[in-house]
Amino acid sequence: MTKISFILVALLGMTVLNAHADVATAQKLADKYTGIAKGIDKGFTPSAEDGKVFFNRQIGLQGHKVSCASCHTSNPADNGKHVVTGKLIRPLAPAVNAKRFTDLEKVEDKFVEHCNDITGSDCTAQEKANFITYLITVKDATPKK
Amino acid sequence: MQYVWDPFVRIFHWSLVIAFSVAFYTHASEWERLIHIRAGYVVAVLLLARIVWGFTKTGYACFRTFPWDPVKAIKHIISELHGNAKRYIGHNPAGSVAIYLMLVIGLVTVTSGWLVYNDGWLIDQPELLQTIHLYAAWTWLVLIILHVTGVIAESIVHKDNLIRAMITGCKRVTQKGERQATEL
Repeated sequence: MTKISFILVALLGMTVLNAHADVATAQKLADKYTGIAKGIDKGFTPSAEDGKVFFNRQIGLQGHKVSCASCHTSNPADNGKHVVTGKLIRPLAPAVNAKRFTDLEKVEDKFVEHCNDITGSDCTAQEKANFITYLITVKDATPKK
Repeated sequence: MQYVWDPFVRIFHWSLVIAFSVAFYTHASEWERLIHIRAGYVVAVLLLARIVWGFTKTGYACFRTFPWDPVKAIKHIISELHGNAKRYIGHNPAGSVAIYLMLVIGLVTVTSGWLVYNDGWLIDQPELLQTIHLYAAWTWLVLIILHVTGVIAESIVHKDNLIRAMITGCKRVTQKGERQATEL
């Protein structure tokens, strides 16, 4: 019995640590992009404010006028809704959805696809650093009315 | 000319080629997501119809006439490389293995894709499902490349145009003294 409770406590501890580790992983990714951006512009520091502007900026492309927020809503900690299919999208903010921004390869794939979908070209390292920095600052979903 | 592929098999084959190509071409864009999804449904219907056809039909389309036999398939590929493979009128053993693998991988691809699209249904593992869908689709592409390579090799070795045969349904008649498989 004690053995089982020890294991349970250990597992619980791991999940708690994990929850912290995931925002930390997002931060690591933001740092990685910041490092690249600094190589281009020495004075660059990531800005959550610029990330927020980027997230909500409406861009006209091939007759669509959209932003990241069109699908992910203006609060990245909320569930999103796909503008084409109407399907639910899980929250983007790593504080709410621990699975976001955990794997560099996946994140890069998504940036390539989504940046081309929304802006018509790749995003810069500066934009990516700002984007993740902003998402890390979003901690709470919109309270339900 | 010898009649081999019935109209269902031919229409199925080329419809699948088109549906797979459309799904593959549209896989990365969110704007084309609905086209991708619809192409996936078409693939699912085609695969299921082919499986029903394979169990109910007789002749070259019937599963019983081209058994799953990987050992025989490898032997066939080796003799094909030596240029002395036996001529099969229907599917040769290597083609049979490729077709069964494509049917299975195809079903895995459409099922996982369907679950990825309807996130939260049945299996609450979006990452796992996405990974399965990705690897299944690329495995399928590899199988297609092997299949096409085999078709070209077989066409050269047996001096027959197998691509045309899948359009017209007819293959050339086996000549006297030519080694032909005794199976149907």
